[in-house]
Amino acid sequence: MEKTIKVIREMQESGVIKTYAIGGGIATLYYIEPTLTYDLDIFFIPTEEKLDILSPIYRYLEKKGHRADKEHILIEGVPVQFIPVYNELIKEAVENAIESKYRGVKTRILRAEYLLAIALQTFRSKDRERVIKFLEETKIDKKYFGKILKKHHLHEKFRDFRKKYYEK
Amino acid sequence: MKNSGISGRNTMKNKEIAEIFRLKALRRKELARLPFEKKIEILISLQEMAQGIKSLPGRLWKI
Repeated sequence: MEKTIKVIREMQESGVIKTYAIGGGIATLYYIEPTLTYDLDIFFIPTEEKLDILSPIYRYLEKKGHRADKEHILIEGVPVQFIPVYNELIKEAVENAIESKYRGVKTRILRAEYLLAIALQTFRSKDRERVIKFLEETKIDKKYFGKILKKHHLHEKFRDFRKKYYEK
Repeated sequence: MKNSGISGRNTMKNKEIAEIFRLKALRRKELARLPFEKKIEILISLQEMAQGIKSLPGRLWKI
């Protein structure tokens, strides 16, 4: 995966995208026990807002020899899905991502508190499960999380969630 | 006498089951603390296992 991350970082340094962060299942795996997932989700902020923001990414990567496979692009053996930030919460999450390393290669990963908030916002059944796993398996900064919830109007949703699914 | 024997066995069984779940929760927390690189290795193993069951070609990470 380090080769994949290197390609994405180089793409960012080339200015194809403004910034990015690993999200989804792989970001979640960073914090909790490993669970099955197949894609590397990359949330990104485009360099400019326009209608077709994925084409420059695909063109750049295809020139480097990486081929598209339906909704993914295969980069060094890993199916990668590029997701442009689609609301304020996701944008803020990418901007505040943590810097980390994978086998010596620098990368950016969404913070646990933002992953939790995004899961609450999206609220599919697998997101609900994810929220519980985060609460049970890892430490979150409660103050920081509280601020995110308040800013993005998720405070009541989290309170109701805890009541319904989590409090014993 | 017979009833206390059965309820006694049920209590033991419930305790054992509670202990199993407690140890599982502990194990999940231990797994959560593993280094990122180790977790990705485990992920690849999980993908291999799933492919063995579901026979989905092209889903394994080839890294």
